[in-house]
Amino acid sequence: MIESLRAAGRLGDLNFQNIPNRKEVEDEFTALPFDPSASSYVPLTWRTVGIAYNVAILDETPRTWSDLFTPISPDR
Amino acid sequence: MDDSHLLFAAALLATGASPSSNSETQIKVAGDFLVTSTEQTKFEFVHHQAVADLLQNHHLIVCMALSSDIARAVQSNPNIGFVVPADGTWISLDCIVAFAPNDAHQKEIGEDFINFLLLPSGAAEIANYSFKANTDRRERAFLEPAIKFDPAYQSTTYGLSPLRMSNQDQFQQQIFHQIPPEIATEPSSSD
Repeated sequence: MIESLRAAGRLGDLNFQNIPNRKEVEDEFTALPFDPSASSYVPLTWRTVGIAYNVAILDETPRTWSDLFTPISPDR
Repeated sequence: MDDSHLLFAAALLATGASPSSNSETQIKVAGDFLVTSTEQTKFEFVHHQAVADLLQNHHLIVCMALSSDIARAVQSNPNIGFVVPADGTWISLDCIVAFAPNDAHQKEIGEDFINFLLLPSGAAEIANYSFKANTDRRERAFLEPAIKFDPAYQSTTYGLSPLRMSNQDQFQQQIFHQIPPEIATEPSSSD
């Protein structure tokens, strides 16, 4: 989304002098591929994609994405 | 989860390809794998916010899910587990942006608000409510213990330093990471 908004000229640069707390943002979030200059955005929250499972039913903990596609039993 | 892009990317990974592969052959293999898998298993798309309930009532056994949804669900149901697969995962990042000057009439007020959101106490409040990890490195001291030590939340806050961004692995707006084994396998119960 940021990449397309930048390409369309819809984003301006933030004045980071007005956002002193930005210096506490983890470094890994401040030069992302969609805006290497990191001038138009402040990263705030994030989450990961993973595999959730029912511990009471599944005998083995999933380890890789292949496990997402492995049949549990003949009917599931 | 109802995200066909991520599901296909997971199928690429499961067949040994990069989730950003442009190879026609690899995409064909992953597509065939996906078709075969859905024929062999009971498979369905559900909204990501419904995943936890469906796991809890045994309608689902294994599923792709967002860490924040599961971190919330684990608070009331310890029978729900969450792992970051060893072959990698994606990070979904929420950003605040500034619209171009002609569209933003009170830009300074907006910047003040962004600065407020980045205060460690404010950032922790957001995390305590949303169960999303925060980008502010000082925030963790203000987290509720139940969230701070939850396995799903920890998978997002384990520390980003080993999770290097890679331009080559960019997949749409999601960022793909290689996860070090010590993080991918057993989330620690310590901070």
